[in-house]
Amino acid sequence: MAVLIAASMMDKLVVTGVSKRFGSDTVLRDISFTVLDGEFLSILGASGCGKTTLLRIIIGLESQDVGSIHKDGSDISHTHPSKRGMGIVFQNYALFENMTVLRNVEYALLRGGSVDRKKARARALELLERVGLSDQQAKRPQALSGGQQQRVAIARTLVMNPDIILLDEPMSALDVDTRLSLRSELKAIQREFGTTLIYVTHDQEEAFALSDHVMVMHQGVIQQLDVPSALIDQPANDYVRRFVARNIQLKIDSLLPYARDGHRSI
Amino acid sequence: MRRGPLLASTKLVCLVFFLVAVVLPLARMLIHLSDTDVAAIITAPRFAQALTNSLLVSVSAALISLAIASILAWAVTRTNLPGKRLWSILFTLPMLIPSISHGMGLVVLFGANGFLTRLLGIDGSIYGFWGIVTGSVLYSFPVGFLMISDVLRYEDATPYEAADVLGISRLRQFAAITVPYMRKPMIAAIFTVFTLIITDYGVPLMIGGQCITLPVMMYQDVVGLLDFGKGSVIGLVLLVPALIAFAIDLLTRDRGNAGFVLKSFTLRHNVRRDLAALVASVLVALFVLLPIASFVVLTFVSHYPNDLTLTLANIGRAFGMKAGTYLLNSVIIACSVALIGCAVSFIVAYFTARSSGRLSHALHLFSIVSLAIPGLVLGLSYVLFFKGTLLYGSLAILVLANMMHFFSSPYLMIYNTLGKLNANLEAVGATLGVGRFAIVRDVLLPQSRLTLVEMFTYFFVNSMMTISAVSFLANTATRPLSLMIPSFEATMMLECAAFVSLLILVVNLALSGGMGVLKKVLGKRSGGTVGAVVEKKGAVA
Repeated sequence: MAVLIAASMMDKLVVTGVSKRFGSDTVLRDISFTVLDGEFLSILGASGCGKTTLLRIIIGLESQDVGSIHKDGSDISHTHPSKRGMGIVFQNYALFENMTVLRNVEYALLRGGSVDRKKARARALELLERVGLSDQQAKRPQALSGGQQQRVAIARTLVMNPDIILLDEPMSALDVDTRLSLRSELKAIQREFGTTLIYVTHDQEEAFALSDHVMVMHQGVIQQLDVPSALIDQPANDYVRRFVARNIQLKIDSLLPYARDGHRSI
Repeated sequence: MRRGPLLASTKLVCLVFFLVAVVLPLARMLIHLSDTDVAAIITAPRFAQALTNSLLVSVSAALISLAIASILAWAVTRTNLPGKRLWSILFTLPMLIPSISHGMGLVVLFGANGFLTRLLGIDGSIYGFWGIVTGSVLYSFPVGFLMISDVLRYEDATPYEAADVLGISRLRQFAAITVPYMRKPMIAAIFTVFTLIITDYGVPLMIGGQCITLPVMMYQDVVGLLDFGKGSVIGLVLLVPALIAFAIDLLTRDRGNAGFVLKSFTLRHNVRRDLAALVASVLVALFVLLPIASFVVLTFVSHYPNDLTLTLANIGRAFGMKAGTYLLNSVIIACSVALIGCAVSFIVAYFTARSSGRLSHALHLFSIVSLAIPGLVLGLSYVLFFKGTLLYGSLAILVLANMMHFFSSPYLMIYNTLGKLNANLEAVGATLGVGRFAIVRDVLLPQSRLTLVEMFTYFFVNSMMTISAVSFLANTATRPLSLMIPSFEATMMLECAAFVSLLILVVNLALSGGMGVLKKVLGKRSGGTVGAVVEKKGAVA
């Protein structure tokens, strides 16, 4: 398999032939793809398609049965999660609720022991400043809004200087307005820190709005990996066509009452 | 999640612990049956009579208990009863003293020479069937009250409001909304209370008279006649209803709808309803307080009813018979059970609530199965299994027996708490280079503080007052205070027995009160004051 990796300078992450079974369930089937440096990749699929498992394998929380993962040209297939230079933001953030926002962010630095207290504090304050939460640092996470909690979770991963951040359906718990504003914030953070982002979602609109590339998964298999417009114009198969079309159809339906006679008739 | 070999081996250690502390002793008891003429014991008329008595008493008492519990639960959740917190504390007061004391309280009040017998001029016929039922209701209704009021407190008001809007009558609302909602919790409560009553020997020993129940028979056969074979047979029979109750509880146990935001009930102004609640509460409070008041009288009056001068002589006599030493024993046992019990149940619940796999499932099952083992049965199986070992005859075996006897409730408390914390905390730790142990210490443990305080209280209070598992295991050196009550009763020293009951109540009240204060302090601390301190520090840095 290693032969396949003719690593170009731009290849940040190369996943090759990854498969995973839980008991008799095959969750991932021969997954191979490449993520470029600084890219925003969305993994799109219905629940149960294996996208979260793939994310957990990439960061090392689960181990793949076969296949390999390379980052910056070196094999990290069996490296400990904390040594992969990646961060992850979970669906419900998993913040440390018994600690303040500031403590959440500096905790990993203090536990790691390599950084002294003052430096850890300074670094955490700097990150909170950059995600716009300086004034919330003394609060408990529960006292913050969903969007703010997500920013704490991002700051908490940024403190370890990851060059890839994985996000597991981070917006699913938020309301529509917050989602919209967080989208642009996410892009801003990515630009500022130059990190590569891999974003798991079942929301096609979100994936299309944010991503450089979108990967559609179904039953543990990659259906198509391409730029957003290509998924609409040249869907690789029926599943992709239906998955994408369904969402477009929904939008047209919701507009129809307006379209007929200019105002809502019902 | 990657699982280290350390995690798996610690799980194995826990499993071995349960094998030694529960499974093997029970197996030893069952093996003992092979040398016993089981058929002869079971077919004896005395056994059949005891079995019938046990079943009749337990069914009657459980039903009455649940009826009272339901009324009280309704009073504190669905009426404007003034001073609800105080009433709730009053209603659970009986949980702080041994069941045998309740039996004694009834004897003192309604017995041949009882306070109320003389006052009201009734004949002292409390001994027997109805005496056992009354005494059993007295100590078991608080358990039902806690279970039912908890369920009522978290009932959603929305269906009732919808029904009101639709003009559906109260009666039909009760049949269509309340009954289906309460069915499962009620079944669970009935079986819990039933098991509690059928395995208790304190009340029937004290007040049963000619009405012998199975636990009394087992107690007399083992303690009096040293007939372990017969004891084992009865133990096995007692295990049956407990196991049935356990299975039903397991099947009906609701996972709870913690995720939903529930609408709480708005109580309308209704004087008649509130008055009814008040009357019911006062009556039950009298029922609860009268026996305790009788202990106070017995303790401080020279010799009721012949000599009514106030005196401290009874207390002196009790201490002359080493009540002080036994009190110390009890406190040492209760503290050890509480500390070790909290630690062990936290560790086990950490595995079962926060990691999966067969070992975790096995551990969870072992942890809750102890709920189904009556104290007398556990005590007897310990006698048979540990006899001849270093543990036998030491305080440690009393600690172990109590801990296993009371393990499942505190275990379930911490299991629920740990299960509710975010499932990805350890995963976050792993990606940040923070190990499992650090996450446990810095995140999980701090967020479990309030639960740990409740668990400590539960272990302590129950260890203070239990007379079941320890009755076969204690010797003159290791005897806990609670066991003085049956021996004082046997020697007709009711004054001293009353004093000991009072002493246990005072210790338990003091501990629960202290823990209540601690909970408040901890609750406040996690509320926000810490945040303010950090903010100041942050500003300086």
